[in-house]
Amino acid sequence: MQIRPNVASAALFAGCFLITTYGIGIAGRLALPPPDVGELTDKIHTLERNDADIDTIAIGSSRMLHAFDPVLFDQAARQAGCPIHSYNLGIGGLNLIEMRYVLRRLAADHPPRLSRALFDPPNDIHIEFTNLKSQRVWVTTDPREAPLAIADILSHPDPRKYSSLARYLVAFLYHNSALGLASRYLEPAAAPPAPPRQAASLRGYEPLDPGAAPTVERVGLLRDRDNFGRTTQTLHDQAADRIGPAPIDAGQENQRIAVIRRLANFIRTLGYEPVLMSLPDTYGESITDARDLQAAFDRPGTQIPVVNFMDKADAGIIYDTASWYDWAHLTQSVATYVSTTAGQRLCRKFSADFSQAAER
Amino acid sequence: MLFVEPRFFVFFAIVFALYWSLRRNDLRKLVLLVASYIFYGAWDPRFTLLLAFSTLFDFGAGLMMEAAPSQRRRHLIIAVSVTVNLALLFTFKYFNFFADSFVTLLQAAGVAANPVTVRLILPVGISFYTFQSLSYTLDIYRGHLRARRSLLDYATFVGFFPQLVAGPIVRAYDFLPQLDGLKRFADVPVRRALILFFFGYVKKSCVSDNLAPYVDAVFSHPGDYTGLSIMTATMLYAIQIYCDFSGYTDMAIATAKLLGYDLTVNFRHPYFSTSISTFWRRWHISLSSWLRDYLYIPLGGNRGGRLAGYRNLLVTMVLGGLWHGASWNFVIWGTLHGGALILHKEYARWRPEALTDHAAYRVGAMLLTFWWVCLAWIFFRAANLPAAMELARSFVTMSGTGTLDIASWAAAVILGLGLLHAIEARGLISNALMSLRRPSFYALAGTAAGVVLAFTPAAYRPFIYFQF
Repeated sequence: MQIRPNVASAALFAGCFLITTYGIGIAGRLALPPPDVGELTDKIHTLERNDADIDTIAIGSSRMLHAFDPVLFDQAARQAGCPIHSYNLGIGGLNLIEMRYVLRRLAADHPPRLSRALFDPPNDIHIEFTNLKSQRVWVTTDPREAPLAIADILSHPDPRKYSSLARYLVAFLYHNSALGLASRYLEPAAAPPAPPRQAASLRGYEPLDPGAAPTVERVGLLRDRDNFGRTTQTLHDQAADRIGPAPIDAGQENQRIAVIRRLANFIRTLGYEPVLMSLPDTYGESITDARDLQAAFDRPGTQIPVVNFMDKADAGIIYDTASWYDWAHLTQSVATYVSTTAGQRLCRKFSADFSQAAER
Repeated sequence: MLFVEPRFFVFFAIVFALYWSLRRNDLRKLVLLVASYIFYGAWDPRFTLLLAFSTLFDFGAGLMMEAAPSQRRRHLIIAVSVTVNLALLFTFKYFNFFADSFVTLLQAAGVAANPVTVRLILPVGISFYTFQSLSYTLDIYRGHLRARRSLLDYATFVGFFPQLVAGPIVRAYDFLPQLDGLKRFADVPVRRALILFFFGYVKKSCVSDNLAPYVDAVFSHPGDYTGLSIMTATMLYAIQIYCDFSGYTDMAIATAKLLGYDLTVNFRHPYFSTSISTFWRRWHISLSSWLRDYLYIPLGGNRGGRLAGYRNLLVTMVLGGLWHGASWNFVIWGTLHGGALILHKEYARWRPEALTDHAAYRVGAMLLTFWWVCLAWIFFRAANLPAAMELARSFVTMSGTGTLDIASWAAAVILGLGLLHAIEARGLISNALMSLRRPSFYALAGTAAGVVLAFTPAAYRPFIYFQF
């Protein structure tokens, strides 16, 4: 067998293939209009169809989806003197890049009254290979967003971040090759989005009722009730300052704050006022993280109001075992508390804006 | 594992490197055998047990038949071999259909019968390797072939992964001699094989898989589309299934070629046929010739006179239809083709031979043949008989009940693909590629591979013929 000419031919083939596929792939993504990713944009379409008066959106992952009731939030804010009309734009598993995509798509539609975006720190970017081919991963691997995505992955105080980075790189190579680029535009037009699964009156909110048939995640919590009880007790003690908070490396936390600041600035460039709403989860570090973010932003000069539900004032309610539907989500009754309290607290922070608006 | 998946390329690169690095033929065959079982087991490891059983059974039957002291014993052995092979095929392929039909029949007769809850999964490619295995014992029985003494050789023949799951159906007398003797890589027409694989990939991934969503849309809601759109969608399906199946075959032949083996040609531009008889000499050649040799001729062929020949032809075509699955749609598909073959044979008896030389006649005959083949494809593709009847009515009358249209753009696609196909039918593209200098060829191949990736849908569709 003639080894050298064969190897040279194989190398030539591989080189030309890689240059072509990534040349076409990246140039195509930069030049072509992004296709509509229904999983991320269906709620925008629903919002447009149902309500043109929305002035505030609450965006985030499933924590926001299941914890923010726009009706109760509006009621509480109105009673406190702030007429607000909000919508829950929470989407399960939403990460930073997807959140930016959704916000960009929302801004492109120019909702006439929208002026404010409450955001929960998005989920970390951790791609499961079973979802590798999904359109959401395609969004996440946008080459324009790569530096931010990498910064976000590395900013998480989580040992699995290196695994997340490796997964992201694999997904990046997959989705930025030419694979399917032209084919995506040859597909028949997608069917119009399915009607919303929930009543329009819920305005994007999806309550979690512990009395209803349990999800797999809830079954997990019910099985692991003792362990969960110990976890919430520890979290309660941390939030109430009875024990010290879970430590986060200072350098790490600075990266994290920088990423969230970039997100807030991005929201501002779209023309909306960013409001950070730290919704609870059951990681010990999240209490420390929420406090650090509050300390960094919720002060004059930064102009990023913060509502933090992982602090002393809420510890008794939030970290009660019965308040949780599963390991990551609050029940409907606690969502009522969160939405009402958020409306009241934010109205206090917004009161200057509202009085200025009233004077105008 | 599909030929168009990245994991196949990794798999094949390993097999290729290992195979050619070995210097002993028996070790190379062992590599092929193990690779074939890994390839097949990638669908479901349980399927390999069935393949192994089929292999061992027919290997044993072949040896016993050759050693049989009497013709009577040979009869007995071949009867058992045919029965067991067909029983396997019927069990896995037709059990669900017959079980459901039996329950329906009982219920219609007023007998309380519960639906059958046991469902058998159809092992991919069972129809192909069962026919291949059957031809081995039948050829030994007829004295056309000596039984193979080496189980490794026979198992490699039955399991050879390039053609295992969707053909071409290889005859033992074609393939087994190729297992003898150490192959030299220098004799492998690498460039020809790469071109063939590339064309197969383009047909499957860039043409068939991109047309499929449009065909699916029309065939699932024919009432929404205009008559012209239904007609166009049927033609698109004709292109889809051709590109899907012949694309698979091209890739199978190319893959085998890269390992030094030659597989039989399975397609010869069938849609350019000027009669249905020619069509069947150009479409799925390995199946039609199998049916001819092991069904039509044993039934009597045309030896019993014209009418008996037609009867045998019709029986062969209907059974050929049923080979695809137990459904009335396949029966009608086979009948339409069988009927057309009979009509054409009758017509050919009085047609002036000189007529066939006229270009206009040939174009007309080609269009009519394609039209008939498309009409039959409706029964092959439609989900059920009522849907097929509705689609066929719209196809014939060119009238539909809906307003959605795909015909306006699809006509240009059909003409474009037809033109490209006609150019390659004369070998113009592949010959031009063959004439390139080595560096130019590989640079162009790499660039072309990068480009076609853009036209490959991200979600892989299984090959249509895998379900058969």
